[in-house]
Amino acid sequence: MTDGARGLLDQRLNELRGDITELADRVDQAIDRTVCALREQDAEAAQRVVAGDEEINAKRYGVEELCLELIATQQPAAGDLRAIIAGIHIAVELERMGDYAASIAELTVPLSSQPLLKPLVGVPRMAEIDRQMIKAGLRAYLEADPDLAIETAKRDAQIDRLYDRSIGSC
Amino acid sequence: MSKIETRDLRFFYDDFEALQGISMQIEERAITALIGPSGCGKSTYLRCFNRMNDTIEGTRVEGAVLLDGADIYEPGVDVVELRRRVGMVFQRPNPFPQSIYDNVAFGPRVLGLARAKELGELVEQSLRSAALWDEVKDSLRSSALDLSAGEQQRLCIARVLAVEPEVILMDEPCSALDPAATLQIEELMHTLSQKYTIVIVTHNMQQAARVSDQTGLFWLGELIEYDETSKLFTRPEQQLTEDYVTGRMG
Repeated sequence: MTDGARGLLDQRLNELRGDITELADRVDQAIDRTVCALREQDAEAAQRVVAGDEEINAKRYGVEELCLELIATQQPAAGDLRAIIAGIHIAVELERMGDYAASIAELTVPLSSQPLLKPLVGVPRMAEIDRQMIKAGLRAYLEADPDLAIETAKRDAQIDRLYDRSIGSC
Repeated sequence: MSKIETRDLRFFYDDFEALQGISMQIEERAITALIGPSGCGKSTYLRCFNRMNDTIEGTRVEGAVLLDGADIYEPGVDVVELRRRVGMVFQRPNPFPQSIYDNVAFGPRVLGLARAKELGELVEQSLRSAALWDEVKDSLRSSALDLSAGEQQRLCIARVLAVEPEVILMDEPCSALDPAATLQIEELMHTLSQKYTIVIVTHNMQQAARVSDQTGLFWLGELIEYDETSKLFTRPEQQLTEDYVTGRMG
């Protein structure tokens, strides 16, 4: 690969990192807005989250297309290849989180006209940890930091505990 | 089991040490690719396997090159027999200015490997093994120079196969070929690797990744990393390998 080709690959990899960052930001916002809508019982805000999920889906497919193009045209290897494959996985997982946010927002619409049975504690806390994990996971990817990635993955246990507690109290 | 092994192999062009103690095992009936920038020593290393470097004045070798466990640099080794066992295909196809038939028959005739009535059979078998028979069976008496570059290279492979080698060395065998002819050679290499040990030197990293089982990276006369191709191109151990295969170096 010539220096020129390497330059182009670096440029496109930066583009990929930018797209994934943007996707992560949108999903982070969707989670935040969903939980706010749920807490505030705001049906309109919840509907905006549902509508916004289309953009998240489109962004995910955009990331996939860019990754396929890079593999086909640049024949990446080693660390570059791993960054691209990881990029595809991250985009899929983020999009799935966006789907969950939209699903909660959909449930929020009918719930907004009824009083809450008890104060919301577990769900907002889970959302808070989720958002911290998105940010930390993204940073681990962008900075190629395996220690941070491992630490972030471990935090999933906290969410599991909160989930079990929430389901147990229903 | 390794077909070829080098132990602390050092090669000198006068005072210049082109290979600085290479120890490596080449697996039998597999394809081993040697990659690295120009002048890194990979072709010099390849040419040690059949003592092609012997013809260059002012050169000397230290260490050992073992073929099936026997050192090919030991005094008394029959170099002609060695080069029959370890054949070579070069960067540019180099058929003799003779007919297709005579090109393939040349080696067996010189070495007395086949009687006249068996020679036709050997030529056909070699051309079939080189995936060239169907294209040339009706023009065996035509000049080899009339063939396309890709066909000429496959003819050169057939010429090597005709003397029943055990190892085939390939020094940039596709660098003068178009993508379709390159693909044919790569497919042929894959088929041949079931019967022969193949060592290829290539500048084309994608080619090394596509065709080889093992890959070695050379750098300034040293072997930097040698591993399964799938690992070397996805999870190399050495930073230099990572930088080279991703185009940051070389």
